[in-house]
Amino acid sequence: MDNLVVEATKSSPYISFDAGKGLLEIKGKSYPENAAKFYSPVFDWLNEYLDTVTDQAIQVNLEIIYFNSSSSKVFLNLFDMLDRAVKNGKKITIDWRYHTENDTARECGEEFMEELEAVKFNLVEIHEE
Amino acid sequence: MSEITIFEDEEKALREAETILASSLPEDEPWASYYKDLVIRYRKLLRHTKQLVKMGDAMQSELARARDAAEFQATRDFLTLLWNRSAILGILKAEIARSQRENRPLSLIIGDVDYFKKVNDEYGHLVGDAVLREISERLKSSIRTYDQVGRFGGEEFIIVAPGCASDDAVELGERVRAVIAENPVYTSEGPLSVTMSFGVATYGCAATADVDSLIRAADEALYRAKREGRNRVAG
Repeated sequence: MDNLVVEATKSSPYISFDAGKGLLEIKGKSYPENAAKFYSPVFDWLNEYLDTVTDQAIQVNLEIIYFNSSSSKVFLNLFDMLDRAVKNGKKITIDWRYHTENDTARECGEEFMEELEAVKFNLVEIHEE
Repeated sequence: MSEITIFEDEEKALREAETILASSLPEDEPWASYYKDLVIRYRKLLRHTKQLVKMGDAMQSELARARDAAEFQATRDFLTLLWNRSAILGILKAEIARSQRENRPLSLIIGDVDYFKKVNDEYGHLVGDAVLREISERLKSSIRTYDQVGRFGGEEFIIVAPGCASDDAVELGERVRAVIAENPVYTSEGPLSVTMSFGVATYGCAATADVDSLIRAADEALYRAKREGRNRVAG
């Protein structure tokens, strides 16, 4: 399966989904004009990937500095999808990465965490070098 | 994050719907399973809405904080935290327009630290910076509440005094001058006596006044104060 790579723009994050490694990363800011449209290739890719993957451990890293309301709804949908996949036997860990001084990102991570039942969700603090 | 309480009506509706769900619904009616499904969706939608509102609020607060910080940085002098040059010029421009509109006088005072170069040369720039900071505190504490003070550059400061006629402005300048001169500035190199010279320009109600002419007039007065021996106010 092809990897999915989307370069970052001013208002949208860097996306790198690597099927071989089972590593899915979204990094940066997320306030695209049309969040549903922007993330639709991500969901298409993920649907296909989750259909094909068997016992590979999947690592999802999210490092979102700032996101708008539409994006947070998209993330809820994404987590919902991953949660269901875990209930169906997939091995998935989500790391919600935030910088030490970014209280808002941490609080949002906590908020997302409450929503999840099956998938492992870690809050990972990134210290500035 | 604090609990969102703006959804009380929806919470109440959900509780009522769940009460109905808990009572026996006819099992073989299609609408009953449809109703059950709707309640489950409504519960989830309400939960999500609350989460999204909470996160949206947090992000917006964060943005507002960042905006405030950026605005502060853009308008303040980094050393003294007084208005910076462009901010005080903006204030001056707005006050000129206001005084024309309201037909009130407006005064501008430019102050310059006497022999400041010597402080830097003899004691170093850190002491010079400390002197500028202390002077800024004294300027702030000696003006009236509706006056504005900014650092114009180097050791030059500007006070914008709305509603202040010529005599009042000279009096204000004199008060500020005295506050600077009467006590030494305590620095790591010991107490330094520091004085300032001030030039005052007042705009009565002549429609010709603009930022440049007011500054030029105050500057000329300042040079007069310097020529006449410093530590004084010229109007």
